[in-house]
Amino acid sequence: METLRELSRNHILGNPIRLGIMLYLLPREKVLFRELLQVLEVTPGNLDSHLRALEKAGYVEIYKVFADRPRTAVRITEKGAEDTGKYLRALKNVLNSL
Amino acid sequence: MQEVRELKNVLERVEGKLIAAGKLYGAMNFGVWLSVMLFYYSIIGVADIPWQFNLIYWPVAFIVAMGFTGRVWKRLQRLGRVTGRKVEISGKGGILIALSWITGIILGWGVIPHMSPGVNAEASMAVGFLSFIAFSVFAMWLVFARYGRIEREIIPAFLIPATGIPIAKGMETGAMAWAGFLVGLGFSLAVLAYIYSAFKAIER
Repeated sequence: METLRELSRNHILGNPIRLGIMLYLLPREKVLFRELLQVLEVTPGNLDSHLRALEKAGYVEIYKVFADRPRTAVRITEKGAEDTGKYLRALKNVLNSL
Repeated sequence: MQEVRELKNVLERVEGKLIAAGKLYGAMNFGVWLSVMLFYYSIIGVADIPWQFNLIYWPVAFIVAMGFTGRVWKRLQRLGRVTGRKVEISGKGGILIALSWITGIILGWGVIPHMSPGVNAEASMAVGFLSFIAFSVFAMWLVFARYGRIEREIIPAFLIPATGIPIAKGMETGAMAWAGFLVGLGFSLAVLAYIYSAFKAIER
């Protein structure tokens, strides 16, 4: 099954926290690090390591913004949106075929 | 099998929420254009503004609203890639949308008022305004249908102004107010339709 192979190949989005980050970022222009912390209920270190993995894969961009003080913000890239879409469709196909 | 069903439900809920986000962006887009128009009507309603004001207000309003539309469009494209409801309008599609509005402006503000279809100058201007909106939004809707998907929510935004044209033609006073009301009503209904679709997508 091609879709199963596609799913197993994507080690980045196979992690539920990373998939959660991508889904949260999708409809938004940018999200602050602290907002992601609250939404996902993870520790700062844990979130940071997942974001670095997503950044390394080219799925997100991490940058600094000035809110009340300098803050870390995250935005999704075109590649990230494209691959998340492919991943979700593949997952849906697999589930429908079961 | 229970886990598979649960996972399928989760995926469908996620997809529904993403579709709903897209619909809300559509509503926001029409909301911005509605605000631009209503602000203009408020200004000309409370003060005696010279006609030159139009030359400043509309280009500025157009740039601001188009900037917003552009940002909304990018997000819609991104969401479309995930939900499988693609809105990938090519360069040709973009040119056709711009052409829709340019043709609408020429027809509505140039050709039609010049032909004097109304009982007086104001009625002719109102017919032109309604034609401009009805034609431009309809042509844009056709481009969306051809290159992306059929957006049923947009239909009131061109249908309601179009149906008001015969009445506007015969109005001796208040024709422009009537035209403004119909355009505002059409856009408001488009916003409502988008919000309704968003709720439907969440609840499915």
